[in-house]
Amino acid sequence: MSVPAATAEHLVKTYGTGDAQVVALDDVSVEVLPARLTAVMGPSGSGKSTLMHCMAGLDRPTSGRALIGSTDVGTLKDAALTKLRRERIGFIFQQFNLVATLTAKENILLPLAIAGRKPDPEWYDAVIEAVGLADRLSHKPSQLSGGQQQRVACARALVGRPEIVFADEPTGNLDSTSAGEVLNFLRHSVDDLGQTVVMVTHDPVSASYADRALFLADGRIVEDVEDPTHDQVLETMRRLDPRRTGRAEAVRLPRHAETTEA
Amino acid sequence: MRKATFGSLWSRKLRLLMAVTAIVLGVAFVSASFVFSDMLKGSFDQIIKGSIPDVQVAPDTSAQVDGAQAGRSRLTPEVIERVKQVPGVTSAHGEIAGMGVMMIDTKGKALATFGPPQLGFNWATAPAYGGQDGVTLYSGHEPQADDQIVVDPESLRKSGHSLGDRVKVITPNAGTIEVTVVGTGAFGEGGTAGASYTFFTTQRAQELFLGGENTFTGAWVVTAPDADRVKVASDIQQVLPAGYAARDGDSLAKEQETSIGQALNFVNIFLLVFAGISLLVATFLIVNTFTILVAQRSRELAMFRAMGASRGQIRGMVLAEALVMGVVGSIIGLFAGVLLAQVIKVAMAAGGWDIGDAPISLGLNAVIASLATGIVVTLIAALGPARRATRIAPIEAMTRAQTESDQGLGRRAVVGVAMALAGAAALVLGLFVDVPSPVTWAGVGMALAMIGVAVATPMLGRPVVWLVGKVYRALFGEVGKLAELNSVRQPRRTAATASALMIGLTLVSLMAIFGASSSKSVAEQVNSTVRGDFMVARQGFQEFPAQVNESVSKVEQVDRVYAMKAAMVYNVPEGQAMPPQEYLNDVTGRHMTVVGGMEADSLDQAFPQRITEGRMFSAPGEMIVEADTAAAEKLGLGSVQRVYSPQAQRVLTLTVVGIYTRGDGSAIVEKWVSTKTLTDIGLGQQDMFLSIHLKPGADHAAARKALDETLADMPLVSVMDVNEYTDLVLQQVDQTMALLYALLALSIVIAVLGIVNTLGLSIVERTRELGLLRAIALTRGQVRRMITLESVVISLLGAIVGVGLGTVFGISLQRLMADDGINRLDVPVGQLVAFVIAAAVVGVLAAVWPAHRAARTNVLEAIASE
Repeated sequence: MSVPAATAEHLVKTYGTGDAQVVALDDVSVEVLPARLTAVMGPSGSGKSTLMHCMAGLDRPTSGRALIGSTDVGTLKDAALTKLRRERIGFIFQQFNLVATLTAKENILLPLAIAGRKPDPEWYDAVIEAVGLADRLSHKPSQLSGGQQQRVACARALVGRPEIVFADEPTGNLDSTSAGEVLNFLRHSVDDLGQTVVMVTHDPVSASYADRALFLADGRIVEDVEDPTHDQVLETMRRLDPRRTGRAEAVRLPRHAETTEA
Repeated sequence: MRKATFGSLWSRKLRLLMAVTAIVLGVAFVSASFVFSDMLKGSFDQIIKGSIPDVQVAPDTSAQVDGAQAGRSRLTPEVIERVKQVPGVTSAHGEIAGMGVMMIDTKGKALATFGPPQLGFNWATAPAYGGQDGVTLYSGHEPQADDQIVVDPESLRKSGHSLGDRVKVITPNAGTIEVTVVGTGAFGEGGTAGASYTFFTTQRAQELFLGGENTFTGAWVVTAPDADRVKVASDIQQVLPAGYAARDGDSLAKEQETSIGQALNFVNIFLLVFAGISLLVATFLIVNTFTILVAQRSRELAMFRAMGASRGQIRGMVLAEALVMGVVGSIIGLFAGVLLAQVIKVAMAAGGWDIGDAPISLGLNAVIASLATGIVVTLIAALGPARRATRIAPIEAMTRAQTESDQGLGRRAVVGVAMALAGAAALVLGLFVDVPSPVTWAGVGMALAMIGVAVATPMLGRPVVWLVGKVYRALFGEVGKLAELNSVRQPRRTAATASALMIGLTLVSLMAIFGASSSKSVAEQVNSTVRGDFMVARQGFQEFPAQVNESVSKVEQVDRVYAMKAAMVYNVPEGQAMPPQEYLNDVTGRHMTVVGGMEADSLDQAFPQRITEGRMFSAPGEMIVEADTAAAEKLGLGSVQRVYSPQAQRVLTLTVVGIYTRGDGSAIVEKWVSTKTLTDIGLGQQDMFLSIHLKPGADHAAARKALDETLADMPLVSVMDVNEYTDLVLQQVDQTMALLYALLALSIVIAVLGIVNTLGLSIVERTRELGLLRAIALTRGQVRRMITLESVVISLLGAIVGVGLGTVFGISLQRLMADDGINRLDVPVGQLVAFVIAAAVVGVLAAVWPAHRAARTNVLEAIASE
């Protein structure tokens, strides 16, 4: 049994007080295992993003503990937290992931440069090759397509060889082809580079790339599926939020079906 | 549409606040200059009211008194009696007025001022014009004995004395006297506009000012309420001796108002120039703010366009916003100006130009000028951004992910460079080519070059940013690099922000170089001009009592004292009997010349000079003229110049008998006559400058001590060696510089606000990116440092370009003025470097708030924000 890369212990996160209080996380405990692609799924408002934010040290839980390796994220001060994020965690956000003034290469190396670290050349080459952007490194973000920008963001998240990568709706803003590229890269980084990735998504296709899918509803983990398939995910989603998923399926299924088969 | 306009204004109050602040600062200066001059005028009006009788008899400053009797004309008691007999006159009394009467305060210092006069009168109460209160007693009693005085309340307050105190008073001819203050009084409502009044008994006044003669310098006439004052005045004129004029109160008041108005106009123009500079700087800030606001709202505006708003409506909307801001800013600025006027008043009082207890009034012209300027400038500033707003294509704006777009330099750079080059060409013409009025060429050239450079800064500033970037990368690594890249992300915006600072620093550097060069030139000239072991002079080069000479001469170690006298005269144009009235009324001193008077054999002992043509003056009426001045006025040997002295009421005919050169030196005056020339017509009773030569072998320190002790009673004047004397001369340069710096400081304040504004706005724009940087890499401290460094780039850009330009201008100005006495160049490198460093500090300070805000960026909210 391997040591978890990240652990949530009885995480509770509430917003507001009294009548207006909203419980975003309601006693969530989970262990994220290394070298696996874990998807966190759930309808909007289910608490999936809050879970990721708390585990990654971007937000502080109301109670409970969040650990990266064996470090309790909740006890760290801002500077230490920033250092933790810079050195042990990689982030991929939904959009506007890059610094507009820097080239792709500078963006990729930014966290390392700020930390004053040199990239491991072999690892750097491996990551660049994996994202397939060798010929685009000197371009500014505005000269890259959305998919390319997101792959640069992926490379940046990975280049420091973090213990864990958190991806928040990484394909949310992309067309299906670009989304496929990004998801393939994440899959590849887990399988071939041995990275640990936690990906928040509400897209069943994205989830089907994962080794494990956690389903959240009303701030609790309601399902935990190993090696989810597309259909399994859809099925679970429909059960959790029939109205919403039904509509989403009608609109999105044909398009995604194409990509996955391609 | 109107609702949308106001809605969008309100939703961005913080950003708008900054732009409004810029308008406020610009307008405040305009308003202050008007309020200030209204204040001065009000204060003078107050005095005019109570100090003008129905008919005044006074020496006619525009008349020439011929005849054997030398000196000023006087009114005898018989004349006063005759005046009383004139029909329509109810009462008349003889007046004695003298200048240069100063009380010594409790600390032993004379209550001296540079501007308003210090007047001495004989005490006499009679109604003023139209039955208003004339001289009025406020407390105590009137002077009943010769050692009693009444002073104005403000002077008594400033002196620290109280009623009943024994005080020392400096008088122009009779030295320092000791008297008792028995009361306070003044004309009318008590305003003095900073002047001081000391009232003596008539007999004492005659002793002090008229050498004890039972005569008067004028008469105060009260008429019957229904009398025709013009008629009465002309009837009185019939009984007056030559050299006297009777004027009715009405025309007297008008004349005084006109000449005061002229003086104030001068102050006003001065203040308005600075208001113009402030507004120019503020305009950059306003344009910048609007440009950013429109850019950030491009989506919103595009949405309006998509919903069917026409281009005109969008433009109207942006302009309406500008109008609201212009109105709000101008109104606040109007009142801020009132405060600023107060500050100027206090500052001037501290500098010796006390205008007294002037009432604050907000005249209609102040209101109109301030509001009009503020609103028009704001609207003009908003025109460009408004036009750009209408060019936003709806779809483009709504789909564009970021407000970022690469800004070209385009026409701006071309126009700016062209202007700068044209300016440089004009400057070169003015400097090196023999063109008519080179100063105008150079001045216009400098103005053009400055605005051109300001416009072209995005391009011209690149090397500076590049250099700063290099340093940053070396010192601050990745954070420094990010800061540099941020600062060039919107080159135009950065440049516009820097330009505001640039203009201020250009002027400050220009002043610094010019000031240093002036000081150096003056210091060298003084050193090589003045002779003697010690000098005696008064601050501001005003005259001082002859008694000083007597006291100093008695000091044991003193061998000889050479006294310089002076007379203020006006040139009489060819073919005319008298200088035109406008010469005499002109307050700028353009038509005035000061003629120095010394003994022929002592001139060289005090002020070295060398006669190059002709000979030294000997007989009265002979004059020697400095070579450059002679050339400028086309005077040669044998030339005759006729000058008029208002004080003596005489026209003097002076014949040039010699032309002299003073080498590198400069003297207080350019024209010299013998002392007798002046005393013959009753002038030169006071001294302007004493050169003291000690006995051979006398101990300098002991002599100094003895001289200081002798003059302890005369705090007006000070004993100085050459270096101290130089300092006294330089004091005037320094005072002027201090005033100019203070005024320019305001434009720097506006520039700093501009940096705060631009940074603040660009941080709002970059919320997302800051969130991302926080999430992946930067600590709060690093974010703060990044923003601070960015701010420093902007301020350094402005400072380096500004100081560079100012240096060129300063050197040019010195060259232009080389013939006018500024013949040494001094570039105060340390000071200029200090400006650049100060600008960097300013950059750090300007970033405090924006950096704090940026560091506080909530990572989650930033990432979630659209």
